[in-house]
Amino acid sequence: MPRLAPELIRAARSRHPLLPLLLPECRTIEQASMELRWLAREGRWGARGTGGGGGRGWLRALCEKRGRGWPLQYLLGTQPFGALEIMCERGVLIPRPETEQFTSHLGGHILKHLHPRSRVGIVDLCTGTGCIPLLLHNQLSMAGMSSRILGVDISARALRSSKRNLEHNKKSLSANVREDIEFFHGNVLAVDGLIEAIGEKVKGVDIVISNPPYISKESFNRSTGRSVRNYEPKLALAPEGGDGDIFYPAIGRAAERLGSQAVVAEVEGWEQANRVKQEWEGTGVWEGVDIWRDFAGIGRTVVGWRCGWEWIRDGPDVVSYRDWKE
Amino acid sequence: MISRTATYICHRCVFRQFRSQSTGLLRRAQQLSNEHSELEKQLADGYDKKLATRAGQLASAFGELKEMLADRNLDPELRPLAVSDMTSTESSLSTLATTITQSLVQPHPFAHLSALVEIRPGAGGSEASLFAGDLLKLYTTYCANIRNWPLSMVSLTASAEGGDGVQEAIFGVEAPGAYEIFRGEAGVHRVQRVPATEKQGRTHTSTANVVVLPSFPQVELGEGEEDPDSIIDMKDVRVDVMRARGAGGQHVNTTDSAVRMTHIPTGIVAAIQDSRSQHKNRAKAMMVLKSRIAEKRRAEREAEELALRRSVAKVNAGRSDKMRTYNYIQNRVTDHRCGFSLHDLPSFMNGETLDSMIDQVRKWQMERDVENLDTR
Repeated sequence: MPRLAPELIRAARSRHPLLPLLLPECRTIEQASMELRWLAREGRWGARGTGGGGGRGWLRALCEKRGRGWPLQYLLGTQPFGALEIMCERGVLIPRPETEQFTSHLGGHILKHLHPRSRVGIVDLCTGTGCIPLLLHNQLSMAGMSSRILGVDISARALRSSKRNLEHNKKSLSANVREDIEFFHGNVLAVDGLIEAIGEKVKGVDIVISNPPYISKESFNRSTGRSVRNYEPKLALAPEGGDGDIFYPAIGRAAERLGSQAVVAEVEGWEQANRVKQEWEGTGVWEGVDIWRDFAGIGRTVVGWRCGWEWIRDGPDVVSYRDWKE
Repeated sequence: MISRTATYICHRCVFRQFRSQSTGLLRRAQQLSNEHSELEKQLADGYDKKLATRAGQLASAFGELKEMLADRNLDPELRPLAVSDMTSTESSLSTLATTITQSLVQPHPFAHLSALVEIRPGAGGSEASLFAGDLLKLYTTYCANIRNWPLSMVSLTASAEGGDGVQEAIFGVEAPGAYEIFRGEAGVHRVQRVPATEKQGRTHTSTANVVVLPSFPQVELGEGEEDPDSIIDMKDVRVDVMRARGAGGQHVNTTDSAVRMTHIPTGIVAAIQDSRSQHKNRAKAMMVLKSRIAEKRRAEREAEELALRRSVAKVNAGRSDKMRTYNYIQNRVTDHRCGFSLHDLPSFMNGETLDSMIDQVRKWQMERDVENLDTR
């Protein structure tokens, strides 16, 4: 990480005495000011790691931790996701804006193309905080469409987190959300057992969706952020063994065997997107496979569909800007 | 006018009659042919080609008929046929000319609005305020009896001398399109009569000034209602989100929730980065964008209103700037702009024949608008 320019630190200090603490992680005064505001507004006495005692030093303590790389979401305990608020804790991956974008795009697609009185069956593999099932349920139930959504994860912490999040967001979800959404333990790479467990819980599956660990070993060491590498669970980021593509054949096979009409999975970028596309095309199960870009124009999601579901091909819009001053 | 019973009509009369349809229109047509190539596209919008073609056909038919009539050797049986044909051709030609005129002239931008009418006495002291009171009565009875339009008195100040005199009267005519009807009434109205206050029987000349403004609907928002000024087409809005540096996805966990919205037609931008929730920033940016657009639209409209008010206020209330004269001695009302006179003043002042006057004034306005097209 490049050294911070002394002028930058001085300029930050002249704005607010705590700003320089945030600079190592935030890099720009603008980002640091935003985060300081959020920390002051949403951080609390006894927030994680501030000693639990409260007192005047809590904001400074939060800033120091943030400067050392603690994710803002772990310090504040939440991350907004669509209209929902997802609770975040160490050991569970923080929901990403790219995931938020393609999930709500998919939700819009479902509402537009499926019959409003149909009950959509969705399986989310590697669900983590449960953000994808919860956001989809929120979107569909707001429009009056019912759904049956399963979330699968191998991590006990993730399962605890997803169940807490269901309770936390109950107000934004429809009354019978407890029957509609279910989180349970499962190993995605052991497809046979997974199919059996899912088959017991849901009749028809329309969509299999997943944001699996996809970062290869080299990529993990080279291009992840410090905050990600040091504080987020490696289990949710990089598959064991170092091969970032390992989950996709399993996801495709699970979708195939569940009779799913479509399969949707987040990927690292264009290279992986093309590899996954090729892999899924090779199985001959899907009528078509295509890549959605994210808001930054990066190939982010691979979608496969069976006959009649061609509408799923259209991805979200590329809309982004990079700089505060732009 | 060509007499319907005429069996013969001279060449020149026909042409004069035809020309007098609308000199302005003819000039316009000439100009159109000159600028044809460059204006063709613009004309396609405002100018009704079908009508123009039909008018052209009729004009040539008219010419043929006229030649037939001029031919003394014409079969006596054909002559009455030609004459009757000519009559109908001529009448449809004149309606077509009116229609083309209307399609050439852009409707007034505020034609659909209701009107705000202000009456104030001009030169002539207490007689002027008495006449202002007469005009007020004329318009109120006209709205109530002829048009059946609801009328709301905004302000009414009786003159200090008492009686029916009016120092200032402002009233709203709350009917869509009232502005289009009333706008020709704006100007200086002159009265020539022996006032009730005159002891020696002398004729006085006084004036009253009438101002007509379009009245813009006042928007009062109920709960959950949206300001109509702020309604925008989402197709015109470009939404950008701030993006993380680098590969994105699982590689980064920086909060980049800023949202920027641009209303393309006006170039108005709203950028919000206040919340960690992109969802909330989006909603807020939309709200800010809408209120900025509404603000801009309101400001533009107010500027327009102000300009209109200034242009109206330029009319001064001198006796010589009159646009209409009410001569009680001759029992006559004459509009000086279109040269139209009516000879029954009492029924006019009851509003009964005001409509025919307004029609004539509107025709004159339209004719003038066509003339103005020339110079543009």
